[in-house]
Amino acid sequence: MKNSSMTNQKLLEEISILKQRIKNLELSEIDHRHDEEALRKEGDFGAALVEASSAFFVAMDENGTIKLMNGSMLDALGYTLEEVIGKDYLSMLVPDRDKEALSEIFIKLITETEQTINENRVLTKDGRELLAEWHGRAVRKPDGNLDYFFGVGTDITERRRAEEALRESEQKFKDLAEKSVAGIYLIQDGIFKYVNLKLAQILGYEIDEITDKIFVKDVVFPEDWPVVEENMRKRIEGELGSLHYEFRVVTKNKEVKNAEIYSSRTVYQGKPTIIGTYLDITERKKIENALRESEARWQFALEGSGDGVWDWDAASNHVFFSGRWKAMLGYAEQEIGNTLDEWDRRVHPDDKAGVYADLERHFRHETAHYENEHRMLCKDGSYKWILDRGKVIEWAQDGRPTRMIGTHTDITDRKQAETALLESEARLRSITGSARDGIIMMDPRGAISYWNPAAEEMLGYSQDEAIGKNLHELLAPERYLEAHRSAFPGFMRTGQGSAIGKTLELAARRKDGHEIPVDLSLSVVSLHGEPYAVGILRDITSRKRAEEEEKHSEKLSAALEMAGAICHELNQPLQVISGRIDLLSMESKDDRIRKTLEIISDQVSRIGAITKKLMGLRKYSNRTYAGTMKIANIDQTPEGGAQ
Amino acid sequence: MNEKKILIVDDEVAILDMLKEIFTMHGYQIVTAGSAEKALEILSNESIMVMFLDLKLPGMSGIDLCRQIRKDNQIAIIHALTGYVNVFGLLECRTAGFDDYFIKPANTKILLEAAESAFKKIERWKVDEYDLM
Repeated sequence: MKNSSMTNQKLLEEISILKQRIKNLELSEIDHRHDEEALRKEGDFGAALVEASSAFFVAMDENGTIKLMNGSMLDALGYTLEEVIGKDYLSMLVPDRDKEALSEIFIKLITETEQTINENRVLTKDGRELLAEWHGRAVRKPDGNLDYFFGVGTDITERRRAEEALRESEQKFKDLAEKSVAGIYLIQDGIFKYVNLKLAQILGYEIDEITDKIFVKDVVFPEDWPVVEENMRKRIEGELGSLHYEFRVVTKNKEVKNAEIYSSRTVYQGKPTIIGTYLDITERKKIENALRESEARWQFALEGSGDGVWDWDAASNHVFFSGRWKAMLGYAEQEIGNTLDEWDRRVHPDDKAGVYADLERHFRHETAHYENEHRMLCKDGSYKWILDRGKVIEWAQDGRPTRMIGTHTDITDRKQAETALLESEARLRSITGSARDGIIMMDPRGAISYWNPAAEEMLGYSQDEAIGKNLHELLAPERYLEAHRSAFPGFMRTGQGSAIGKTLELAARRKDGHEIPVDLSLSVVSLHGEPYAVGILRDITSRKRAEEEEKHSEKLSAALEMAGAICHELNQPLQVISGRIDLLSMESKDDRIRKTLEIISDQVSRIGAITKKLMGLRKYSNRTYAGTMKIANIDQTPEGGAQ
Repeated sequence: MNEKKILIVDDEVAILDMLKEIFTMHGYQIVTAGSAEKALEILSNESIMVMFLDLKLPGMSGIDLCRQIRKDNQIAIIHALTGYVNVFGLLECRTAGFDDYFIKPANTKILLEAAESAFKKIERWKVDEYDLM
């Protein structure tokens, strides 16, 4: 182990020597590099700097011949280095009008001064002029004579153009501002930095009284200040690009005026500034207010009548719907917007075509105003009948309507009543049409105003023939006319008469002249405040006949019954007679007497046969006897058939 | 009981007398009554198997009389003799229990035949032998 530790010590020493050697080598390497950089500085540094500069750099000898030009200038002029080296600067690159001034600069540099500053133009290869600011410098030999001179130039063409544009723009602004009919202002830190004459006039001040003296707050109507202040803050902080709004101002002599402002943010003298135009809209506001008041008045008047009001502006297609308009359909104020669609989509689909047709007619000037009845959908899903009336009050040049106002009237109740009436009339028509009794109505002048089919059938006159005719002249037989003539005026006056409410049995004259017996029930109905008589006629011809037959048959059966009773009474003595004859005949031996008794017996039997027949009669019939006379036919069986 | 006894009921005496004479002449024994009540009284005392009843009687009618008689006697031959066709028809008479029906004025010969025929039936049936009464 001892040997090995010796070896280690030796190795460490050797490493230490090696390290030192390497370090020395590295140091000599670094020194060598420094030498090279120094050399390069001496030769190329200046040239590199010139080439890298964005400035123009040109060097000339004492004759003005170009010796050197940097890349920046060559690029700007459009030449290559070869094209310019050795050329005369003045004649090649300087416009004629600058040549004289530049020659003087050159002479100054050669003879008097070390350094000059001037502006002159240089010509590009394609003939453009560039304006540059030049710093000239002379480099002399040790004997004091000029060795060469050079110029370092900056292209100020764009800068100069911008400066001129700015000047022009400022002038224009000033011209405009002074001549403007609108007020113009600049505001900084809440104070007016500029106002034009117009704005000063509006506010009642001299320009000098405002500029840098009056705060905006001093002229804004106190109630409007919070809004104005907030808008100013937003613009200064750049939240809003530009802004258009209205507020009120107070002038020097405490007059309140309406202002309309278009303002935006700008920078003035390096500080954020509000620039704006001011329109005095006091007069316009007055007119607008007057108009609004007048509109409010007629809206109020129309709404007072229960109608909803609408006001359509064609340009925006916006519609003003009044509160009553919305309430009519069950909506609150904020539940309906201001688009035409709010109305359009609530019109019943079946009614829409008619609505637009009526509107178009009015737009074509075919109607003095628009009017349509249609159904509108309510909030609760039901439909209301609306009477919609309107009129175009403003027309465009080309004849299109630009503004139209109108009203909505709720006619649901009327419509329902109409429908109910139509249904009731239909029902009545169907009843009277199918009735078997004649139904006739007479107006207060005595003319027929209704005539049902049964009346046509019964009396032979068609509806067309009967309507409008005098009822009594048409139907009443002559013998009734006098009574009618005396009673009718009273009926007309009072709507009452002795016949009203009763059923009368009368005769009516048919178209063919025949009279038929009728039952007439009379009642009165009041139409349009006048009494109309309604008569129900029943043809009782067959009933009459049946009644008469029954009466006849009753009479006959009474007669027959009596005949029966008589026969019975007759049969008793006949029985006695018949029996006695037989007794006599049995006892008698006399042939003559027996013969006679036989004859008598035959006659008694004959009488008996007649009484039997009479008692058997149930039904009356007759047969012709001796030509024209009719007598009862007794040759029938009890069942009714003739034997 | 060989005598042929006939009961005749009629409210008219002339008819009763006439019929009594005729039937007596032909060998019949005649009992007469002027009302239904009288007839029932007679029948309660003696047995009579052939009868001629008028239908129209004061008080109880001939129809009701027949019904009454038929309650006790279904064998007797009972004839209706009526002057009134309409009120009491043939059907009603048959229903009430009448065997035959004659309308006044009835032929004497027919009445005698009816009486004879009735006694022949009674004889044939020999009802008296059973002494039903």
